[in-house]
Amino acid sequence: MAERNRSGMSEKVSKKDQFIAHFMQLPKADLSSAHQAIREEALQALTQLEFPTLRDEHWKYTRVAGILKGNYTLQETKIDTLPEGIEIEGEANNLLVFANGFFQPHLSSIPEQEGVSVMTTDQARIEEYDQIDVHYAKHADHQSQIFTALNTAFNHTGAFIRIEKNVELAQPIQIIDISTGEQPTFQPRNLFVAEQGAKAAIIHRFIGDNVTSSFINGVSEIVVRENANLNYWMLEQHATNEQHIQTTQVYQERNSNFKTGTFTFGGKLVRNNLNIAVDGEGCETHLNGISLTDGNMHVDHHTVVDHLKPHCESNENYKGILSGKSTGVFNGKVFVRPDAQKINAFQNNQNILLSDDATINSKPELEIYADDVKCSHGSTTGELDEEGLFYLQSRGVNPTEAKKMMINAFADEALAVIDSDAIRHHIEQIIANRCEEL
Amino acid sequence: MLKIDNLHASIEGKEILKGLNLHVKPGEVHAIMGPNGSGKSTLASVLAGKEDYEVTDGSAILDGKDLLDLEPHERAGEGLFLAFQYPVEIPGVSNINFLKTAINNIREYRGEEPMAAKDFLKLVKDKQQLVELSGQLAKRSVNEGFSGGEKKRNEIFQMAMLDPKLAILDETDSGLDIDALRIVANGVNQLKSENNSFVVITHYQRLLDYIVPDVVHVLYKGQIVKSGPKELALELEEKGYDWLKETEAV
Repeated sequence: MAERNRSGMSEKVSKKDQFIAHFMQLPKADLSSAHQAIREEALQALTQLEFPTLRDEHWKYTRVAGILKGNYTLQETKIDTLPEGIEIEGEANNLLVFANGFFQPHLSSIPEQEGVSVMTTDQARIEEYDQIDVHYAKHADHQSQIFTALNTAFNHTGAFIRIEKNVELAQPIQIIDISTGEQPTFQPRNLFVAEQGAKAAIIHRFIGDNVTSSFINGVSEIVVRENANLNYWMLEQHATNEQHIQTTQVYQERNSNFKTGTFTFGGKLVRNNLNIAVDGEGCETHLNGISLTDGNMHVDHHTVVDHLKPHCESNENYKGILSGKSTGVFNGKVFVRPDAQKINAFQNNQNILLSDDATINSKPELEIYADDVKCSHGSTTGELDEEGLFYLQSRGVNPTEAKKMMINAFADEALAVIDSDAIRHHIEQIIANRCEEL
Repeated sequence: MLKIDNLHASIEGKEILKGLNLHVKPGEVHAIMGPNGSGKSTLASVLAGKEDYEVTDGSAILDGKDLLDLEPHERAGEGLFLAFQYPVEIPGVSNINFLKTAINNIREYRGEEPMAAKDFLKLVKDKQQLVELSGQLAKRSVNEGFSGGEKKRNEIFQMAMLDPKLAILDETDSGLDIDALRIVANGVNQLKSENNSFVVITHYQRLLDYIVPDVVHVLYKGQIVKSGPKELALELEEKGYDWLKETEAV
């Protein structure tokens, strides 16, 4: 078999085939015939696609070979309680809880609101088939992206949230994806739709709880229709040995406003693909992120903002705080297409290295085909300001507190976009707690 | 209060302080003057515990504790305060949160309970008035976007909040117009008591019109070469420092 084959290519194919074969054996969800056809497409794509290597431009700094080695299990999981201390103080408990990808109705609480649908995607396939069918697999690319194809072929369920025309979601909804047990794998598939003029905030949290070597491969499709306003905050609090590939595919229509933040605090390997197609005039897009890493963590933020139409504004601000032997990657790309005049696009990546062995690979990119635009990008990497630290300490602030204050101040810029005090404070607290360990 | 004996300190292998002696009693104000490069700011940095400097000999005892054995924040805990010549801007850290943390960390160091929020706010209000610092400035990020005068007033405001035993003012007068100078000096004079001491490092005599010293020292080539009453400052202003070189030549 693979061992005997000396050709690198064939060996890779073989590893992939083994990996896919493993997933084929795992239990599969029942799909409607239309979605079954999409699954077949994805399975077909999987036979053609390869897992990326470091030679692939978009995966230059992130090695996924380790993921393929795992022997993952997919088992119906039920947890009795939520992990302790995860509550967001001051935030309503509108929860949609999943454990290893399985819905936990007894831990979930979904408020009834006219014009708001919140349910699992498998439930939506039954109850709101037309609504899910309009968008399902229409935005995320399962033809050329292998992890999206994998998810499209093997996903079971996920969260479906739809806010009807001109409806404002009263309280943010929290999706909590808990990973637990030995080598679990799951591929949550989410769809969020803010219809014309709708307004909503969604918090998406990944939490590792007594878990070893998981592999999570999530795909979320987000549609922000005309005049809609959607905030989407993602918090990744994985255990040290978890592997997570998350692809978020966003489609914005005219005059819509989309704000998102990707805040990563744990995991062995985390790769966030955030792709935003801005396909209408007058849109506003904010994408921020924080990586707070230590140990051997590897966190890769890969973003694309694709300005297809004129008169839009996008603002990107990612911050890395890296210590130990951890590695961070930021690769942000902004496209401005030929017809997309009068675009203001700003991109900024700043990093602080707290140790000599931490590494950051930062690659901000602009690709502009229109001539009347205002775009800028920048990247800085440095250490914590020694002068500032000394100043604080000379006033009696102890070294740990001083470091905490400086790190929080650094991170705050990426949190300022969050308009909910409760969520912002929660994230600040996570950062403050983590600083104690750095 | 403060006893510095035979202090030697160097930076990057170059000795700057070469056996400095300075004794300050409670309630006293000492001025340290001297030409550029004599070691004035080095003295301030060494006392505050800046890492770049290496102390090779000597001691600096504050109320029985050798400061040189302590971390910078512990020195503050023992009652030392340095007003910086160039206060650092720290974007994103609010003045007020910073001071609250500083006060409570110092209290913790001394084995005391944290200050009640109400008492803290009252203290802020009182001390702001002392240096005529607006409430807006106090709420902003530490020194960020402050003018030169505002930064120096903020230093004195922090000093007033922390109520140190020994305060070192490192060229606090540099870059100040006469109004700001008056406000800063006024703040210092109101904080002065028989239980605390001040070491005022300055290049010019003008500050000493407002903060009247008990003793004036001349620092030259890393040593105190002359000490005298406040009139010495006037003499220095008149004669400059060239006579030092002549004395040396002899």
